[in-house]
Amino acid sequence: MKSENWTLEIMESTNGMVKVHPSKLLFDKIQNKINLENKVSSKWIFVAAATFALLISINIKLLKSSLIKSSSQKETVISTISNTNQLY
Amino acid sequence: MALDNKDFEKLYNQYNVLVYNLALNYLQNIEDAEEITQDVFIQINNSLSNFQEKSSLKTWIYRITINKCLDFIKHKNSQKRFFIFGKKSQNEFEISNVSNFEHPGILLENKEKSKLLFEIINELGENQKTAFLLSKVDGLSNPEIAEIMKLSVSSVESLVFRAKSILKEKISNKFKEYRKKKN
Repeated sequence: MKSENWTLEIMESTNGMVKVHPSKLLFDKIQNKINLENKVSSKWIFVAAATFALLISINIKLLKSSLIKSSSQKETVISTISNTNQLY
Repeated sequence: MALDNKDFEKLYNQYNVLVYNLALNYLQNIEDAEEITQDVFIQINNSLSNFQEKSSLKTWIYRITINKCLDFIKHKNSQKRFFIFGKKSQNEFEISNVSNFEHPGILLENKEKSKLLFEIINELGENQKTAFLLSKVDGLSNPEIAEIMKLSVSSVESLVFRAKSILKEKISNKFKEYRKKKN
């Protein structure tokens, strides 16, 4: 057989190819995956919301404590100034 | 927002054969093609609301499928590279087994020849492979392929032409090897 004929036969070997159908169970598999994804995503949304709330509460607490600290420091400085009436 | 079950089933019935066959031609493995079909329909379900109708739904689905297949191949190739240094996994047989693939949709008398054709198609570059598969195997016209690949029609013509010449050259080289072995 000549090389050209052989090449042509190989090139034309997909002629008459029939479309293949996937497994009948594939649709159920896809739906299960989608349902699972939805479940996982709602769980992660809850986790993210809880983490966010925790972060905000920690920040508020830290801010409050630092405010209290700075105001008490201010009071100490003022009281020492008023007691001695000297700046140096 | 995701589709409701009835609409999704309708969409699946309309396009599952298209997606599955394209993935099968690309990956030449039944399990991989099914996995890609699953991933494609999950993405369709999740992002159909973002579909802007700049192209037809069919074109959009073609694009998703091609991108998923290319990503899958890249991932497999990186696994292959890893196996050279690392421990061999159970999937290795699957990866090295691509060239032994017999397409279930091909006529019995053409099975052996098409096996060789698919083996050589895998050696083409990404764009040449896509253009050739869409043109020769899926039977799409050049303007349709151009829309899917976001290229000009002349670029697609050139890709298909180049792919065919490379394939012919490689097949003829295989013929020479085959004759040498015989003699």
